[in-house]
Amino acid sequence: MLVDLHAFQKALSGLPEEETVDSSEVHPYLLNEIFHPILTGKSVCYGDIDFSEFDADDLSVISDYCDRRESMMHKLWEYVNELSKAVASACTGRAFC
Amino acid sequence: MVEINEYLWATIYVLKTVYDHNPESPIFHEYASAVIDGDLIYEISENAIQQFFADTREYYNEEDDVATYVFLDPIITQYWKLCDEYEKKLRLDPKDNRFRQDMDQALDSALYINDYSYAYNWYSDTKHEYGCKLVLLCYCEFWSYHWIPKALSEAYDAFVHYTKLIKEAIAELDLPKIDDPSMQTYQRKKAA
Repeated sequence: MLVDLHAFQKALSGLPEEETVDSSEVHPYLLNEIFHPILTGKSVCYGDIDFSEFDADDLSVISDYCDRRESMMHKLWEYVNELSKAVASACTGRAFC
Repeated sequence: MVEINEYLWATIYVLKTVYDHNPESPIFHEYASAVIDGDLIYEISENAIQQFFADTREYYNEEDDVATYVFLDPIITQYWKLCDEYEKKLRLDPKDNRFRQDMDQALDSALYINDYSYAYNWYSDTKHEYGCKLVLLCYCEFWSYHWIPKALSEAYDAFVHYTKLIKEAIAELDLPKIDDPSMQTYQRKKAA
């Protein structure tokens, strides 16, 4: 597989920035006080949770959100894996000097 | 690093169920300094199972690989006694008592767990100090321990709800009827 990195970079930078997985339905308390800290490697204890801040049903919403993120990450890794198989080829013309 | 998986959220779900039942439960003190971790799901669920009824006993039969939970509580005993009283007043057979049928249905709904390897029942045990108990059997292939706390919470709420209803029904039975002489006297006095 041949990849034109210049064209690839140009295509990527042309894409609009957007949230990879929609989190608008996720309860902000669970997202900001539990999910994000854990994602960034911080330890969150059960004693840190304010259980009055959310409903039990909110937990299934964030669990689904995590599943979708996981699935998206899996696709991304598959793509990265494919790209890594590409063989570098030398330029046919002089690039400088 | 802690893995974010469904069991991590399930541990919080189990504790949330306990919180909604009793925010002062000792389980919160016990796990206050524990880092959120899906690997704790079984331990937290086992602990949470103890938090809903006044006295929860657990037995494990190694030979058959069956875990038996026995739930004892004054609310269960009281409901059974009220059912007895209702049947006595109406000279009803227990199987025709709508309050027993209603509780059977409520428990079927509360204790519905998406798992095939369990059974439950509630019955009178005259040998026991509480007189009546709710029993849950989890067979060897049962894996949904984290759903038990929610089921118990709903079962407890059902006992509270139907206790109120049966008390009202018994109180109504105790009211004098229109053709009752005491009721006629009462109505005459009221009219005068």
